[in-house]
Amino acid sequence: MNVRRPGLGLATLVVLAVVAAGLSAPAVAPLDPAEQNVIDRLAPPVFMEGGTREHWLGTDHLGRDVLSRLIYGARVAVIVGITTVIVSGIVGLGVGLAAGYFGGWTDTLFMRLLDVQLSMPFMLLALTIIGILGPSLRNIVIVLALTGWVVYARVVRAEILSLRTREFVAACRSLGGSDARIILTHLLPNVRSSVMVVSTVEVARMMLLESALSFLGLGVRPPTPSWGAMLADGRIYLTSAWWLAAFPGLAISVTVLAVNTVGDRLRDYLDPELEV
Amino acid sequence: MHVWLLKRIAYSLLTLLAISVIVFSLVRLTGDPVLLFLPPDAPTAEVDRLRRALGFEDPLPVQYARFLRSALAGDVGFSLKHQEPALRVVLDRLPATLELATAAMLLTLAIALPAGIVSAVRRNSWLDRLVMAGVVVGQSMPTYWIGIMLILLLSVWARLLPPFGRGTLAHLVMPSVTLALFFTARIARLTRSGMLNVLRTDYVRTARAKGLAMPVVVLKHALRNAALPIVTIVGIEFGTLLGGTVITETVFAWPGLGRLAVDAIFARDYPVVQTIVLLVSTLFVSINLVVDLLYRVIDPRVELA
Repeated sequence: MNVRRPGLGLATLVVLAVVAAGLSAPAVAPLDPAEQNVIDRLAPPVFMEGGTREHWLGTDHLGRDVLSRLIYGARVAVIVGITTVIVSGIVGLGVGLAAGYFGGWTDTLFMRLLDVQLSMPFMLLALTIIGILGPSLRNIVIVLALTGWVVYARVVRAEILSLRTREFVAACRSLGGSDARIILTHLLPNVRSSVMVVSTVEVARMMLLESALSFLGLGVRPPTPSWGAMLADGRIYLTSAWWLAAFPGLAISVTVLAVNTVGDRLRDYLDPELEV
Repeated sequence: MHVWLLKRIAYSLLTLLAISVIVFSLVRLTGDPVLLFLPPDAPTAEVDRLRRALGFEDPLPVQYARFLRSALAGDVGFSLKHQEPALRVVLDRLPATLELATAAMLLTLAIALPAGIVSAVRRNSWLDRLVMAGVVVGQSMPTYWIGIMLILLLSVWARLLPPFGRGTLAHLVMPSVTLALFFTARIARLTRSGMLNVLRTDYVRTARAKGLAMPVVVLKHALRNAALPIVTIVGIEFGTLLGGTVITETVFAWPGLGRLAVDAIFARDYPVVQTIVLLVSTLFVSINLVVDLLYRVIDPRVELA
């Protein structure tokens, strides 16, 4: 890998900054993200006429500080991105290992299930389920993990199919190694790099999906700030206060772009043939 | 060939059957579906009467069989909000979505194919870098944000295009560009990697060695072979495109399926939601079947076991 390729350093920096901001939001945010101030509502950002240093990125329709809300919004994005990837990664890894290693009806069953899932319009299904169960952080993670496992299962299965015919697997088996031993000590380490690449790209996709759900009003409940919901609120004031819609979108785009860039480089380095 | 075709069709039907079970179960997730038909303060006796009348007291398999039978006859339920059969409500909105999805797909192909091909042929050139940068950026920006920023730029500031609604060609521009963006990025990337794989092969080198011009080799030899995975992806993405209209239609108040679905979810009008999920899934499964058949036509070598 050419480490000096432009962008990687910057992208890593952005990712670290967003994670740090998300995790330590109360310490970093200049103001309380929920504090309303009706007199000071729709204040422009500092670089525009009428902007003040008190609100670097202006205030929203309730007079809340946009910068502080963006920092707290990073929290939701980071938490949802990481937890969904962990949950769907574990499920997908398990399914992929089982389907690829045991083959036969296990494989058929899981692959049919995967086909069924891929044939359904995911966004609609997610919206429906959340509409029925009610929007909450837990339900969002469940619904997103429900779509995420497929990617891991596919990639892991394909790798296991070729790995299980290799000599070291046969050697372990002929020495009396159990299925569990073969899977844990011989197969799992060999799919690690692909799973890492997929996970990174999936964090980006999950963040985008979370923000889309929030945008449609089916994300985390207000007043918890989330980038998608901020954008949806700001949309109404497009003619008078464009920054309310512009900044949250910019935050999502820059974050996802950074994560994707890191994922891309990771792929070049670990597993250049992998198509995700 | 015939055995394969029958098997493939049987698989598609099986998939649809499984989908119908999921769609049927969805509404049962709400707890008591009868409550959806009544105001919240309805007396218990009334709830019980309706529960019996609607058949919600029967065992679930019986209810499912009834659901499947009427769904096959085109009756997926009655929309309380629209006071019309759900299927009619949905079919009324289908043309708008098909119009949007088709425009977006044409736009995608018109940009993504040339971009992917040029990028592969001129690998590592500044053009390739530009395309690849565009791909990553395109895949990282949320659709709705692009839509809103387009409205801000072209409607609010420049006053060039109508910000929402459907009717003239001008109304179609921003929604289709918004919807196309993500898919353009994806398909450009796949075209590029597909072409790169083919350009490495011996017959391309031979064609070049015998003195054929590069454009001829690219278009006549390479593209035809790289087309296979591209056709598959385009087929799959068209289905995703239909599902992906949810956000674009919401942003631009486009009167199609996606917006109808969002409205129906908020209004708890589940027959409409069920109909849309079933319809889009059926379209998706059918498109994939057709794509598989096309595969055979494009490349007779494909093993159809």
